[in-house]
Amino acid sequence: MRSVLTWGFVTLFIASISGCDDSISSPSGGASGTPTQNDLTQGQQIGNAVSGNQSFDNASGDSGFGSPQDTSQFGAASFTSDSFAKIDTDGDPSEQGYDQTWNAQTSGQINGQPVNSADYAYVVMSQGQMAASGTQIGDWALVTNNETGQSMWARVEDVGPAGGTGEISEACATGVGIQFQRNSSTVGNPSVTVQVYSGTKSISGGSN
Amino acid sequence: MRTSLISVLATALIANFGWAESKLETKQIPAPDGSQVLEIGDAIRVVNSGGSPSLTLASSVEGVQRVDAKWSPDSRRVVVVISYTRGSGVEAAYIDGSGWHKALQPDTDLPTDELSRQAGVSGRLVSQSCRLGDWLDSRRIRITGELIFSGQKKVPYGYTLVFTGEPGHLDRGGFEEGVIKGIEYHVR
Repeated sequence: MRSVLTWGFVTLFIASISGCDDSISSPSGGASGTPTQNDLTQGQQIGNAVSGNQSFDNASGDSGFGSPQDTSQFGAASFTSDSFAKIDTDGDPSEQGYDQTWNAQTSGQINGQPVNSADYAYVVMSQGQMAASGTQIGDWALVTNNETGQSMWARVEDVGPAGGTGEISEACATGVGIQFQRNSSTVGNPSVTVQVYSGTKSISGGSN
Repeated sequence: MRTSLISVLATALIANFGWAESKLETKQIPAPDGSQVLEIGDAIRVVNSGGSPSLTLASSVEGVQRVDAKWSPDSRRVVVVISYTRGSGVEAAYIDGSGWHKALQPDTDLPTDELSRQAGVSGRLVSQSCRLGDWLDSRRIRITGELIFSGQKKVPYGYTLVFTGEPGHLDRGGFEEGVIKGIEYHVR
């Protein structure tokens, strides 16, 4: 308990200091404003997303979790959605104060900590979607940008409201070439297809 | 600066206690007639009086923040609300002549657009939660919930969950869909 508290103090102190720096200037742009280049997160900064019709073997997965090392057991997707992309910044401490929908926690955890949206490609499902498809936190998902065909592997790491679809982490959005502002609004109305493969959480990830 | 640091440390302390105690509390909820128990631990199961599992509703509770469950007065049905930080779902277990079954209320039941329109709220749906109310009889139970949209705009809602008595279709997760259904949705 003591070590947890100490570690928490150190971590949150560092996060808070950076948060103090952030709060010196309020974010420019916004839902109704014109985003500046600094407000935009550029696609393809993380992961070498590739274009064209993707198969399991050429989808990018270089962000955080990497790509599943063995997709031979995946079979058909247990859950598929096709909808406008929404950016989930949860778990990314640098988004506090910028994104009105921000949450410190994610349902999944890595080493006891929330999954940082900026570092890990993850997707969000509802409890109902997970139950109906037999999905658990940690299962693999393939995310495809419907406009460009860029795709990348992600894991299910957050649980959102009933009926929600197309919610992906910052790292995942960047990996498939979707731009967004610091308030989590996407630039334009990009859409994504999310295909989830239940029973795959134990398959480890790595670089292609 | 000093005040800010104290504030940050206090927040960190509270947050740490929150994390340390976020593990789901183990609970056993017996049916009124004592024939079954709903066990909430590493999984969520209906267990008979001999201790053998009759049915598993959830084999993992990773990330689950709260589980709310109530048995029907006749002990033939149990409704369970499984809640994560930003979303809840409703499941149920019931017994008939062929044994125990599990049922799921599909997301499409929740009329999010209609509720938000009635409340005059728009924006991005950020979170949704619900809790169990009282049983009206052994087939109907009240449920209350809340939708939270961007900008912290809240829409409290209520409905009645009904066991329809109709056959459902089995989904990939092994749940019957169509057996439980929400009716009389309204903004509270």
